[in-house]
Amino acid sequence: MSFEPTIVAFICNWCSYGGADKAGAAKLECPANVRLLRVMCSGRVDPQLLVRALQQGADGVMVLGCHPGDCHYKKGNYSTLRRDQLLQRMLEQFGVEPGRISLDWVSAAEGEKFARVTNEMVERIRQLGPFRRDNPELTRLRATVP
Amino acid sequence: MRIGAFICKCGPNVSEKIDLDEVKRVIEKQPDMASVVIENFPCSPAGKTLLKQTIKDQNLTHCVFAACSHREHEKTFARLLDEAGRNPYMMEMANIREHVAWMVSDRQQATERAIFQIKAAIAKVRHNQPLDHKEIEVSTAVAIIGGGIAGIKAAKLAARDGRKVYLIDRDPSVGGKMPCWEKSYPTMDCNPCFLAPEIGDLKDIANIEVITNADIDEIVGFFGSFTVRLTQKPRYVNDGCMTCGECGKVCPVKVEDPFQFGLVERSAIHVPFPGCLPAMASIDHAACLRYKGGDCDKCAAACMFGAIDYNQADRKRELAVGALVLATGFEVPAVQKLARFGGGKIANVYSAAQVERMLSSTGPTHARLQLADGSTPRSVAILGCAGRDGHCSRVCCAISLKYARYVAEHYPEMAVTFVHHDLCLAGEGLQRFHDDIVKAGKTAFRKMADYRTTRVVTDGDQPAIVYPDAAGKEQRVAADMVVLAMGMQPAAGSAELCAMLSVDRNPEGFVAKNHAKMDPNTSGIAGIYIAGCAGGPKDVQESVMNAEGAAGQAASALRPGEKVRLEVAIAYADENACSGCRACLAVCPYKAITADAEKQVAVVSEVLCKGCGTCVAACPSGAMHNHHFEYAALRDSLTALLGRS
Repeated sequence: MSFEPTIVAFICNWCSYGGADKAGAAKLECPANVRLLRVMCSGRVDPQLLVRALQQGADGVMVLGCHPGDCHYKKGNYSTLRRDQLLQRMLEQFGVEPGRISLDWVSAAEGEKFARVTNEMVERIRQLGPFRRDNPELTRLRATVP
Repeated sequence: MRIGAFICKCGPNVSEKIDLDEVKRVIEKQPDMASVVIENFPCSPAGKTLLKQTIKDQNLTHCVFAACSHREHEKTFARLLDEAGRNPYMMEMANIREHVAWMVSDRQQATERAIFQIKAAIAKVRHNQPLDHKEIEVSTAVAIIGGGIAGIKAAKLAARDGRKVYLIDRDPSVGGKMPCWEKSYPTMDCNPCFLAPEIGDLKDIANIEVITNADIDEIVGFFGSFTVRLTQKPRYVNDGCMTCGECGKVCPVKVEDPFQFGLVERSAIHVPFPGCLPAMASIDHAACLRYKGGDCDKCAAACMFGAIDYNQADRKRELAVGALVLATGFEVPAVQKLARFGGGKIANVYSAAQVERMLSSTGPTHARLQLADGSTPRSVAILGCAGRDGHCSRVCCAISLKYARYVAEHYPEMAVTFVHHDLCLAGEGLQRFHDDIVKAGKTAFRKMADYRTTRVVTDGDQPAIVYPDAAGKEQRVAADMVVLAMGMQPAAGSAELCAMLSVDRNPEGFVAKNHAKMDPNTSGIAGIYIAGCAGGPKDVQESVMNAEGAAGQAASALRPGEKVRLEVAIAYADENACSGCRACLAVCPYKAITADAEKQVAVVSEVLCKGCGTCVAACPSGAMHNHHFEYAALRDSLTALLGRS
């Protein structure tokens, strides 16, 4: 049986949630294994939650927000972008493969993009394989995340 | 805790794609589940009745609705809870229609996924707290930024009906650009004469407060509740001033006079213009010797009324208003200094604004058209579109015709040539105005093929306009005086003001309209209106139309007693955990967080916070919390989503 990854996607209430709605309304086939968690703004997403997701069973984590310049809260997504850049550097140092945690922008009109990025993410993680929770670097990381 | 789950079949939409019986079987086993009901269309009147009954019968404290999108029915179910006597925040939705049934074709996978989403919603709802709605009454006051004719007209209209109006200008006087030009087309009557009674009225209208010499420091808030923080800079003159002008005569400083568009200089202490309001002189702080380390007091010594007060200081004001009107006007580019027009080195090349000052009875030449050496020109050539840079400024062709008309009347021997690209005659009476000038036969019209390659050169001892004609050949018009029609640009500082307010600007740099055709007096931000040239080049008539439109919008949107509902799922700081690092202040998009200077902790404004949660994620101490989206709630929801609980 081929590996079916478990993905969690944090979606913002205004843009990416709407994009997901649109994908559903258009009956676009989206992967069942991308489970959705709603926040009001992608800026709410604490990077600790992203790491925690990996620790608790996710093989990949997505953050989907409004396009830069279109954030419902003006600039929450700029904070998301800055955090992602720092997080990616940190994850590399802990031996987490690039691509496990991804950030993308999906507007409420972009049902097609929602379908595309979620399908692409599943395929990417399928290639990477299950997330290795027994990685000793990660044990150290696990100890610090509440 | 007694949790109830209501699973919607949504006709065939959900029930055919997901095994709801299996879902119910699993969800029933969750801790604290008091009731799990599968219902068809709980959003229908019958469905809502059943739900409300179940909530009461089962004494449910928390509810999860596994149904469609939040955007569809979150409000429906919140109202339902309210009607059932529960706090509307004690609920969560799990989107199993758009996000599961409609997206996932495999029934088994869809069912498993639906179960995870519902479990996540249950885990979250456990953390929900009953939140109470807060409302504030809107302020019906209006702050108008810019005291030109548009700002003045908007102020007067808004001030009727008892509204408090703050008319704010950064210059020492209101009036804007209108006092600068005397003749107005097409009637050739006097602008300052029209403006004077408008300005005069301002001091007699009790609810208009004129605040001049003011810089806007910060504006926060939203429609119904803006706070405008400004600094009123000192003019160093008090109301004993009689505007006699004796102070200016003894002042040793000379700087370029912006009112005269660089034609002549003025002293540091000056009366802005005859009929200014406040009717007082003002010291230009940047030019005055006293504020550069010197100790000159010549003006105080010369003042017979003791009106000079060197010790005046900045005055900070904080205004609470419900709406803003952007009436920031326009800027006149100094085209005469452009390299292609001689860079200011060719004699007798003037911008139209400078010529306006020459033609003004209160101008430096007392209404005489004259060359740099004081003599009267025998010929004048006007170059249209000299400042045209991405947009047509609408008024310059008419202004150029105005000069032609003026010259024909006052200097019948003077030869006038108007080199134009288009002939923009859209305004009222302008076609007739033009036709009369053509009929008089004293003005030559030359058409240029491209306004971007025109330039001014010297031809003997005269300046000359060089332009391409329709055949592509270079043509030349030499005259004693060249006048450049310079157009209008957005006012200096308007870009920064728009950025502060998150108001968009159009590609030409002027304030963008909410809808170009259907809503042109409003910006894209609720409560911020546009008056006059701030929104794009226009003449006085159009500015007044637009200004009164903006005031009408503001006044009808803000009625006394009206309330605005505040967001309650907002952030709050735990004082005891806050280390005072201020990371939250920096990331807040609404400037809703301030630092308590005494306690050295962050304080979130209940009025300004919109609940985005960016500060919560930014806080390194975990001191910032978010009602309804606490870290613990998201953490537990995530755990349930991953099937680990």
